[in-house]
Amino acid sequence: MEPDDAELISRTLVQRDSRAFDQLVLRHQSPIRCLLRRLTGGNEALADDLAQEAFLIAWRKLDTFRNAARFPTWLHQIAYRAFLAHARSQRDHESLDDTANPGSVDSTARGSDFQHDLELAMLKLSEPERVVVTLCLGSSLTRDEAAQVLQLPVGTVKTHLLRGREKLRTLLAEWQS
Amino acid sequence: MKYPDHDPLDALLDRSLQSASRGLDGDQFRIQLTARIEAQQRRMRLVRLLPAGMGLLAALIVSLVARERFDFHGSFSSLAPLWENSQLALAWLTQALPGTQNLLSLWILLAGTALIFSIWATNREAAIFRL
Repeated sequence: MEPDDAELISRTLVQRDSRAFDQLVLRHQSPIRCLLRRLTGGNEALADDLAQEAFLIAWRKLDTFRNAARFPTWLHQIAYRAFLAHARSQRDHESLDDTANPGSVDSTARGSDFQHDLELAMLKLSEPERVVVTLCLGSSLTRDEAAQVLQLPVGTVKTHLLRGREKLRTLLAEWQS
Repeated sequence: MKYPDHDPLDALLDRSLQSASRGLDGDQFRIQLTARIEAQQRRMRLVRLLPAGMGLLAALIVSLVARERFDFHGSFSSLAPLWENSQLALAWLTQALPGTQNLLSLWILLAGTALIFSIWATNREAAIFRL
């Protein structure tokens, strides 16, 4: 039986067990990187760099983690903050959007034709819609958790989710059959 | 998020988004992260050592001045205040050692750089980690 997050965190902090932290990384890296890829418009290198920064902060601040939130929620929050800090350092969000190739689809889309179309459709959502859809449908966070990550009211998250899902349904309507 | 069975597109969306979020291989990512953590640990050790190094250097300067100023076989009545000793230490070092002027400049520059870097790093992390 695999140890849960709480046990791995405890082993990392108390026993200074780096393998325990490795396990946490392996367990949670995929949704974090996926979120950041979507935020950066498919810029894999930048997304992975920000994901590493997020895990680095998590490693340094692990002793401040309290069980008020689930560990994945806490990680997503750090990753989102890392992205915002990066965006601020670019001075304006427009320049970041310019660097992203709207036609590019990251490697997560290579699985199937639907996956490919889905990634293209995701790029057509607004940034808040894309983030909320990724958090709630991709990373399986609850709406409350997504609101906590994004520091938004739950109602706003629900609205973004509804609109994002409707847009995806419209864009992918040909797959209905 | 669950949808009614009669809406296959929503179910397909759910499955595909979850699959994309879980499908990235993490081995290479973990290896790179481990290297970054180790590099950061080295930097943190260095940052911790820096104040100790500066303290040692300051102690060395003061002790050198003290050795010059005090008659260890006589009385300690000529013991000067710390600030005066520090000023004398700088003057003494400048005169006594060739190239000291540059050494001191370098030391001050290093201390200033370390301080600025430390403030920058703290602020940047605080900005990211404002949870």
